[in-house]
Amino acid sequence: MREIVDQLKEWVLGIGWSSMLRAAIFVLVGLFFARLAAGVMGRMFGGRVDKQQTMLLRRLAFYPILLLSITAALREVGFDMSVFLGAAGLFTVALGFASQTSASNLISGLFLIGERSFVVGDFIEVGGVTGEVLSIDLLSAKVRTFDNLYVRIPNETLVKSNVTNLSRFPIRRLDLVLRVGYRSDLSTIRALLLDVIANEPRVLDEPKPLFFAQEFEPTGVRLQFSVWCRREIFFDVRATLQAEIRKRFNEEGVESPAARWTMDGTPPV
Amino acid sequence: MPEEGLYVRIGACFLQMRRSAHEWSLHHHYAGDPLDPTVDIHTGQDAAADDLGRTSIVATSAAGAETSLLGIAPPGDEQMLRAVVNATSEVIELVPRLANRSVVARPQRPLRLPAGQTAHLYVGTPLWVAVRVPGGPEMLELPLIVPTETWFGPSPVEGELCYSARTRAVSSLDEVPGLTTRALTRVTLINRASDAMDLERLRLPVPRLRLAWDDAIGRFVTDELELRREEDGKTANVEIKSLPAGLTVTTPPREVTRRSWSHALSALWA
Repeated sequence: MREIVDQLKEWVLGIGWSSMLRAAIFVLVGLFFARLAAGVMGRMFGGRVDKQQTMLLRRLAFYPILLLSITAALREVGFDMSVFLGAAGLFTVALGFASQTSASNLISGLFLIGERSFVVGDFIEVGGVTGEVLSIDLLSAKVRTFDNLYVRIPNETLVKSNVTNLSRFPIRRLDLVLRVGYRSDLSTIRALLLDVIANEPRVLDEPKPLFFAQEFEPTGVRLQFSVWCRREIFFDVRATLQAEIRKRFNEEGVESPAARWTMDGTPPV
Repeated sequence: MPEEGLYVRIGACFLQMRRSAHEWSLHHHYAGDPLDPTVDIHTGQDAAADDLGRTSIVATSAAGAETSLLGIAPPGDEQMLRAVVNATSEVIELVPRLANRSVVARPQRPLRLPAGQTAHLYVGTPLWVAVRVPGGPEMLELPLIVPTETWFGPSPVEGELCYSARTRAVSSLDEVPGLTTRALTRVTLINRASDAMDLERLRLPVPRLRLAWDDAIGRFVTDELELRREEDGKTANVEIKSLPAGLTVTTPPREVTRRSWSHALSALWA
């Protein structure tokens, strides 16, 4: 062991200042050209492909150049790359076992990029996490939630589980579930709801709104009122409609659901 | 420098523009009947505010001493924009524009065009107004009537976001109401197919049309449109015809494209 350390020490001390300087220049020049190539790739394809593919192309230009410059720098300081490559064969087997999860994530990442079920900038919902996709990397996707938290989701999870893309289509249906008492007249409520959306220009005229009774519950009727709007203003329209419907229900005296019990005072025979 | 103001009412749209040395303060709100044809322009020095801080305008009309109250914005309904500039100018320009998306016109009553027939219809679409300094930057653009949005397409997946406009789709100019907040488009429908065509909705590509003021009828008019249903019954040809003779273009189209193109019929009317 001591011998190995001594040899390593000897090797490090044996590197001349000029070699070290040349190696550093190789790395810096490589870094410069890698960044330049990534920038050129970004500009060349920026307008034609989506953000995710641009990011991938930039990386494809950046990392090989950087790797080449580091290899050249190592050769410059006397590191024999052929020894490293020979040892790589032995390492591969060990690494294969050790990095099963990483490999799985890596392959899943390629599938994700190929499948294009979502791209950078889309809003997705997966396993209880909802947010904007910041990047789809080799091992994981990074998502920024609405409360500005950074969530890393392994690619394998994304391939295995249901992913809802909230940004795929330009319009969305907004389902409002309302509960009213049994004494309420459903046709009056329907007219009232249609009047509420007639005053909200952001609710789409078409597709037409939906109104139906979902279920007759013990305390009242559960209604569904569905309207369509642009996806960007979905939450805003939902908040506005909920507030307006509640206000109108109060003004018009729409009965709330309440449990009703009948007391029978007749003495048992 | 005291604040000078220009107060404009076009139909249900109330617009106040006040200026100081380096700032335009632009307020607008909507109130009243959108079909109201009133147009009022006043200048003034002061705007009064009530106890709730709502600004009403006691303005002097261009004619002289007349004082009028030009609409009070309900609290929270007024929208305000401050535009900070190098120096404000004495002249401000209001530029009429057509809608920034296609407009889907729905005739109040369904319309049927029998085989081989040609119809001329007048369809009104909402107008926008842009506020700018002549030759300078644009500060604000707003619709004169807030239009309802709609989706036009065979499914929620495929289609286009448009504005919706109810139209009487009348065939005679005399029947068209004289609205200042709408532009009038003359649409020629030609049905070359062998069966009748029922018209429930018609998509007008207004961002591609030019706008002009027609003094003779006292209305804003657009380029005329010709929609031709071909013999196969499935394709339609759209052609943007020129403006009526003698009119000069007030506003160029928002989108400059070809003046004729083909569509699947379902992409134009339903």
